[in-house]
Amino acid sequence: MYGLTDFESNINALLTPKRRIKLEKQDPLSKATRLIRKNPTARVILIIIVLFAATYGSVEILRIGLRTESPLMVVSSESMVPTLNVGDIILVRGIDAHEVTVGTIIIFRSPNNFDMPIVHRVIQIDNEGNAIFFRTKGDHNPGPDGWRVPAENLMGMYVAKIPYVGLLSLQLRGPLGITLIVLLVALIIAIEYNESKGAAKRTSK
Amino acid sequence: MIRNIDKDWRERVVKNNLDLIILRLLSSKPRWGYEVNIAIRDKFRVYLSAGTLYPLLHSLEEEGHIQGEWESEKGRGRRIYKITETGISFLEAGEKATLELARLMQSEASETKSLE
Repeated sequence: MYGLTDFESNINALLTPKRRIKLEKQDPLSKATRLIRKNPTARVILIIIVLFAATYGSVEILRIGLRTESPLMVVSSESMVPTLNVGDIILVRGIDAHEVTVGTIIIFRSPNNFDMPIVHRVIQIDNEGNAIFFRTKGDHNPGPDGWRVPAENLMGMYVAKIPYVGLLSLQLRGPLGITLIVLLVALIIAIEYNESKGAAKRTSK
Repeated sequence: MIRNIDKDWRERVVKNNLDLIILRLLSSKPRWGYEVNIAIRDKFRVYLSAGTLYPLLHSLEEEGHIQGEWESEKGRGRRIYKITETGISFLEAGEKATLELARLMQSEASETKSLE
Protein backbone atom coordinates (compact mmCIF):
# COMPACT_ATOMS: atom_id res chain seq x y z
CA MET A 1 0.00 0.00 0.00
CA TYR A 2 1.27 3.39 -0.93
CA GLY A 3 -0.43 5.61 1.64
CA LEU A 4 -0.36 9.22 2.60
CA THR A 5 2.49 8.75 5.08
CA ASP A 6 4.65 7.02 2.46
CA PHE A 7 4.03 9.95 0.17
CA GLU A 8 5.00 12.32 2.96
CA SER A 9 8.26 10.58 3.79
CA ASN A 10 9.18 10.17 0.12
CA ILE A 11 8.66 13.85 -0.50
CA ASN A 12 10.45 14.89 2.66
CA ALA A 13 13.42 12.73 1.77
CA LEU A 14 13.90 14.93 -1.27
CA LEU A 15 13.50 18.22 0.62
CA THR A 16 15.77 20.14 2.93
CA PRO A 17 14.72 19.94 6.64
CA LYS A 18 13.38 23.51 6.53
CA ARG A 19 11.07 22.79 3.63
CA ARG A 20 9.70 19.52 4.89
CA ILE A 21 5.98 19.27 4.85
CA LYS A 22 3.42 17.84 7.26
CA LEU A 23 0.42 16.34 5.53
CA GLU A 24 -2.84 16.15 7.38
CA LYS A 25 -5.51 13.65 6.59
CA GLN A 26 -8.29 16.11 5.91
CA ASP A 27 -10.91 15.06 3.46
CA PRO A 28 -13.85 17.42 2.92
CA LEU A 29 -16.21 15.21 4.94
CA SER A 30 -14.18 15.34 8.14
CA LYS A 31 -13.72 19.06 7.60
CA ALA A 32 -17.49 19.44 7.44
CA THR A 33 -18.12 17.32 10.55
CA ARG A 34 -15.59 19.36 12.49
CA LEU A 35 -17.25 22.58 11.33
CA ILE A 36 -20.63 21.30 12.42
CA ARG A 37 -19.30 20.11 15.77
CA LYS A 38 -17.69 23.46 16.50
CA ASN A 39 -20.05 25.95 14.92
CA PRO A 40 -23.61 26.23 16.32
CA THR A 41 -24.92 28.14 13.30
CA ALA A 42 -23.66 25.40 11.00
CA ARG A 43 -25.53 22.91 13.17
CA VAL A 44 -28.81 24.84 12.87
CA ILE A 45 -28.36 25.09 9.11
CA LEU A 46 -27.75 21.34 8.96
CA ILE A 47 -30.93 20.65 10.95
CA ILE A 48 -32.94 22.86 8.58
CA ILE A 49 -31.42 21.16 5.52
CA VAL A 50 -32.21 17.72 6.93
CA LEU A 51 -35.80 18.76 7.71
CA PHE A 52 -36.29 20.15 4.22
CA ALA A 53 -34.76 17.08 2.60
CA ALA A 54 -36.93 14.79 4.69
CA THR A 55 -40.07 16.73 3.80
CA TYR A 56 -39.52 17.45 0.13
CA GLY A 57 -37.28 14.50 -0.70
CA SER A 58 -39.80 11.96 0.52
CA VAL A 59 -42.56 13.77 -1.34
CA GLU A 60 -40.39 13.53 -4.46
CA ILE A 61 -39.99 9.77 -3.99
CA LEU A 62 -43.73 9.39 -3.48
CA ARG A 63 -44.37 11.56 -6.52
CA ILE A 64 -42.35 9.23 -8.72
CA GLY A 65 -43.55 6.06 -7.00
CA LEU A 66 -47.23 6.93 -7.14
CA ARG A 67 -47.15 8.62 -10.55
CA THR A 68 -48.87 11.78 -9.41
CA GLU A 69 -48.06 15.46 -9.01
CA SER A 70 -49.37 15.72 -5.45
CA PRO A 71 -49.07 12.38 -3.63
CA LEU A 72 -49.95 13.81 -0.21
CA MET A 73 -52.86 16.12 0.42
CA VAL A 74 -54.53 17.52 3.49
CA VAL A 75 -58.32 17.22 3.60
CA SER A 76 -59.78 20.67 4.26
CA SER A 77 -63.37 19.80 3.43
CA GLU A 78 -66.21 18.24 5.35
CA SER A 79 -67.90 16.86 2.29
CA MET A 80 -66.46 13.32 2.68
CA VAL A 81 -67.19 12.90 6.41
CA PRO A 82 -67.04 10.22 7.89
CA THR A 83 -64.77 8.52 5.32
CA LEU A 84 -62.37 11.46 5.34
CA ASN A 85 -62.26 14.09 8.06
CA VAL A 86 -60.89 17.60 8.02
CA GLY A 87 -57.18 17.37 8.79
CA ASP A 88 -56.60 13.85 7.49
CA ILE A 89 -53.53 13.48 5.31
CA ILE A 90 -54.34 11.34 2.30
CA LEU A 91 -52.07 9.37 0.05
CA VAL A 92 -52.95 9.84 -3.62
CA ARG A 93 -51.98 7.55 -6.47
CA GLY A 94 -52.01 8.62 -10.11
CA ILE A 95 -54.57 6.64 -12.05
CA ASP A 96 -55.64 6.28 -15.65
CA ALA A 97 -59.22 7.42 -16.31
CA HIS A 98 -60.04 3.93 -17.67
CA GLU A 99 -59.10 2.31 -14.35
CA VAL A 100 -61.62 4.34 -12.36
CA THR A 101 -64.67 2.38 -11.25
CA VAL A 102 -67.92 3.48 -9.62
CA GLY A 103 -67.28 3.85 -5.90
CA THR A 104 -63.66 4.98 -6.26
CA ILE A 105 -62.75 8.10 -4.29
CA ILE A 106 -60.97 10.37 -6.77
CA ILE A 107 -59.11 13.64 -6.50
CA PHE A 108 -59.80 16.03 -9.34
CA ARG A 109 -59.48 19.65 -10.31
CA SER A 110 -62.77 21.44 -9.77
CA PRO A 111 -64.47 21.99 -13.16
CA ASN A 112 -64.90 25.67 -12.24
CA ASN A 113 -61.50 26.28 -10.70
CA PHE A 114 -58.38 24.66 -12.07
CA ASP A 115 -56.44 25.20 -8.84
CA MET A 116 -59.02 23.76 -6.49
CA PRO A 117 -58.59 20.03 -5.93
CA ILE A 118 -61.69 18.19 -4.71
CA VAL A 119 -61.96 14.71 -3.17
CA HIS A 120 -65.29 13.03 -3.96
CA ARG A 121 -66.62 9.58 -4.75
CA VAL A 122 -67.44 8.48 -8.30
CA ILE A 123 -71.12 7.54 -8.58
CA GLN A 124 -71.39 7.18 -12.35
CA ILE A 125 -69.09 7.05 -15.36
CA ASP A 126 -70.17 8.41 -18.73
CA ASN A 127 -68.30 7.06 -21.74
CA GLU A 128 -68.86 9.23 -24.76
CA GLY A 129 -66.74 8.02 -27.63
CA ASN A 130 -63.19 8.73 -26.58
CA ALA A 131 -64.21 11.06 -23.76
CA ILE A 132 -64.85 9.93 -20.18
CA PHE A 133 -66.79 11.97 -17.66
CA PHE A 134 -67.26 11.24 -13.97
CA ARG A 135 -70.35 12.01 -11.94
CA THR A 136 -69.29 12.63 -8.36
CA LYS A 137 -70.75 13.09 -4.90
CA GLY A 138 -69.40 13.94 -1.48
CA ASP A 139 -70.34 11.23 1.05
CA HIS A 140 -71.55 13.94 3.40
CA ASN A 141 -73.45 15.96 0.77
CA PRO A 142 -77.18 15.28 0.37
CA GLY A 143 -77.11 15.06 -3.42
CA PRO A 144 -74.70 14.41 -6.27
CA ASP A 145 -72.53 17.25 -7.60
CA GLY A 146 -74.16 19.08 -10.48
CA TRP A 147 -71.13 18.75 -12.71
CA ARG A 148 -69.54 16.13 -14.90
CA VAL A 149 -65.81 15.91 -14.32
CA PRO A 150 -63.85 15.47 -17.57
CA ALA A 151 -61.12 12.82 -17.44
CA GLU A 152 -58.39 15.44 -17.94
CA ASN A 153 -59.26 16.96 -14.56
CA LEU A 154 -58.45 13.66 -12.83
CA MET A 155 -55.44 13.94 -10.48
CA GLY A 156 -55.52 10.53 -8.85
CA MET A 157 -57.30 8.19 -6.51
CA TYR A 158 -57.39 8.01 -2.74
CA VAL A 159 -55.24 5.18 -1.36
CA ALA A 160 -54.83 5.62 2.39
CA LYS A 161 -55.07 8.22 5.11
CA ILE A 162 -53.27 9.34 8.24
CA PRO A 163 -56.03 10.70 10.46
CA TYR A 164 -55.93 14.33 11.64
CA VAL A 165 -52.14 14.87 11.36
CA GLY A 166 -52.79 17.46 8.69
CA LEU A 167 -54.61 19.73 11.14
CA LEU A 168 -51.16 20.88 12.14
CA SER A 169 -50.21 21.57 8.54
CA LEU A 170 -53.48 23.46 7.94
CA GLN A 171 -52.63 25.60 10.97
CA LEU A 172 -49.01 26.01 9.93
CA ARG A 173 -50.04 27.37 6.55
CA GLY A 174 -51.56 30.46 8.18
CA PRO A 175 -49.68 33.48 9.54
CA LEU A 176 -49.73 31.90 12.99
CA GLY A 177 -47.85 28.85 11.73
CA ILE A 178 -45.19 30.95 10.02
CA THR A 179 -44.70 33.00 13.20
CA LEU A 180 -44.38 29.76 15.13
CA ILE A 181 -41.69 28.40 12.80
CA VAL A 182 -39.73 31.69 12.85
CA LEU A 183 -39.90 31.79 16.65
CA LEU A 184 -38.75 28.19 16.87
CA VAL A 185 -35.74 28.79 14.62
CA ALA A 186 -34.87 31.98 16.54
CA LEU A 187 -35.11 30.05 19.80
CA ILE A 188 -32.74 27.32 18.58
CA ILE A 189 -30.20 29.90 17.42
CA ALA A 190 -30.48 31.81 20.73
CA ILE A 191 -29.89 28.67 22.77
CA GLU A 192 -26.91 27.64 20.65
CA TYR A 193 -25.47 31.14 20.85
CA ASN A 194 -25.81 31.27 24.64
CA GLU A 195 -24.22 27.86 24.99
CA SER A 196 -21.20 28.80 22.91
CA LYS A 197 -20.83 32.08 24.78
CA GLY A 198 -20.97 30.22 28.10
CA ALA A 199 -18.41 27.75 26.86
CA ALA A 200 -16.11 30.58 25.74
CA LYS A 201 -16.36 32.20 29.17
CA ARG A 202 -15.59 28.94 30.93
CA THR A 203 -12.48 28.36 28.85
CA SER A 204 -11.23 31.95 29.27
CA LYS A 205 -11.39 31.70 33.09
CA MET B 1 -74.97 39.99 16.06
CA ILE B 2 -74.23 36.83 14.09
CA ARG B 3 -71.56 36.07 16.70
CA ASN B 4 -74.26 35.75 19.35
CA ILE B 5 -75.85 32.88 17.47
CA ASP B 6 -74.60 29.43 18.36
CA LYS B 7 -72.14 28.01 15.81
CA ASP B 8 -74.32 24.98 14.97
CA TRP B 9 -77.28 27.24 14.25
CA ARG B 10 -75.19 29.59 12.16
CA GLU B 11 -74.04 26.67 10.05
CA ARG B 12 -77.55 25.31 9.75
CA VAL B 13 -79.21 28.52 8.58
CA VAL B 14 -76.35 29.39 6.23
CA LYS B 15 -76.22 25.94 4.64
CA ASN B 16 -80.01 25.79 4.27
CA ASN B 17 -80.06 29.13 2.46
CA LEU B 18 -76.74 28.89 0.71
CA ASP B 19 -78.10 29.49 -2.80
CA LEU B 20 -79.80 32.75 -1.73
CA ILE B 21 -76.70 33.86 0.18
CA ILE B 22 -74.45 33.26 -2.82
CA LEU B 23 -76.86 35.12 -5.11
CA ARG B 24 -77.05 38.07 -2.70
CA LEU B 25 -73.25 38.24 -2.53
CA LEU B 26 -72.97 38.11 -6.32
CA SER B 27 -75.62 40.79 -6.73
CA SER B 28 -73.22 43.39 -5.29
CA LYS B 29 -70.27 42.43 -7.51
CA PRO B 30 -68.90 39.51 -9.56
CA ARG B 31 -66.71 37.14 -7.57
CA TRP B 32 -64.98 33.82 -7.98
CA GLY B 33 -65.44 30.83 -5.67
CA TYR B 34 -62.77 31.72 -3.15
CA GLU B 35 -64.05 35.30 -2.79
CA VAL B 36 -67.57 34.00 -2.17
CA ASN B 37 -66.20 31.71 0.53
CA ILE B 38 -64.26 34.51 2.22
CA ALA B 39 -67.29 36.81 2.14
CA ILE B 40 -69.45 34.12 3.77
CA ARG B 41 -66.78 33.48 6.37
CA ASP B 42 -66.47 37.18 7.24
CA LYS B 43 -70.17 37.92 7.27
CA PHE B 44 -71.66 34.77 8.76
CA ARG B 45 -68.68 33.25 10.56
CA VAL B 46 -69.26 29.98 8.71
CA TYR B 47 -66.51 28.27 6.77
CA LEU B 48 -67.67 26.26 3.77
CA SER B 49 -65.64 23.49 2.27
CA ALA B 50 -64.67 23.49 -1.39
CA GLY B 51 -66.60 20.25 -1.88
CA THR B 52 -69.79 22.08 -0.90
CA LEU B 53 -69.32 25.48 -2.49
CA TYR B 54 -67.87 24.65 -5.90
CA PRO B 55 -70.49 22.07 -6.93
CA LEU B 56 -73.23 24.51 -5.83
CA LEU B 57 -71.75 27.33 -7.93
CA HIS B 58 -71.75 24.93 -10.85
CA SER B 59 -75.41 23.99 -10.29
CA LEU B 60 -76.47 27.63 -9.95
CA GLU B 61 -74.86 28.29 -13.30
CA GLU B 62 -76.60 25.29 -14.90
CA GLU B 63 -79.92 26.64 -13.59
CA GLY B 64 -79.15 30.01 -15.17
CA HIS B 65 -79.08 31.98 -11.93
CA ILE B 66 -75.47 32.97 -12.32
CA GLN B 67 -73.13 33.22 -15.26
CA GLY B 68 -69.49 32.30 -15.10
CA GLU B 69 -66.62 33.37 -17.26
CA TRP B 70 -63.11 31.92 -17.38
CA GLU B 71 -60.61 34.41 -16.12
CA SER B 72 -57.93 32.98 -18.40
CA GLU B 73 -57.57 30.20 -20.96
CA LYS B 74 -60.52 27.81 -20.76
CA GLY B 75 -60.26 25.18 -18.06
CA ARG B 76 -56.93 26.49 -16.82
CA GLY B 77 -57.99 29.22 -14.47
CA ARG B 78 -60.88 30.14 -12.28
CA ARG B 79 -64.43 31.07 -13.12
CA ILE B 80 -65.71 34.51 -12.19
CA TYR B 81 -69.44 34.51 -11.54
CA LYS B 82 -72.02 37.24 -11.88
CA ILE B 83 -75.75 37.15 -11.19
CA THR B 84 -78.23 36.98 -14.10
CA GLU B 85 -81.72 38.47 -14.49
CA THR B 86 -83.22 35.07 -13.64
CA GLY B 87 -80.98 34.95 -10.59
CA ILE B 88 -82.13 38.35 -9.40
CA SER B 89 -85.81 37.45 -9.58
CA PHE B 90 -85.12 34.08 -7.92
CA LEU B 91 -83.23 35.86 -5.15
CA GLU B 92 -85.98 38.41 -4.59
CA ALA B 93 -88.67 35.71 -4.45
CA GLY B 94 -86.53 33.64 -2.09
CA GLU B 95 -85.83 36.51 0.26
CA LYS B 96 -89.50 37.50 0.29
CA ALA B 97 -90.54 33.94 1.16
CA THR B 98 -87.93 33.68 3.92
CA LEU B 99 -88.98 37.01 5.44
CA GLU B 100 -92.63 36.00 5.24
CA LEU B 101 -91.84 32.72 7.02
CA ALA B 102 -90.05 34.60 9.81
CA ARG B 103 -92.94 37.09 10.05
CA LEU B 104 -95.56 34.30 10.29
CA MET B 105 -93.57 32.55 12.99
CA GLN B 106 -93.22 35.80 14.93
CA SER B 107 -96.94 36.54 14.75
CA GLU B 108 -97.73 32.98 15.86
CA ALA B 109 -95.41 33.50 18.82
CA SER B 110 -97.03 36.81 19.80
CA GLU B 111 -100.55 35.34 19.43
CA THR B 112 -99.64 32.50 21.75
CA LYS B 113 -98.26 35.03 24.19
CA SER B 114 -101.39 37.19 24.17
CA LEU B 115 -103.56 34.11 24.86
CA GLU B 116 -101.60 33.27 27.99
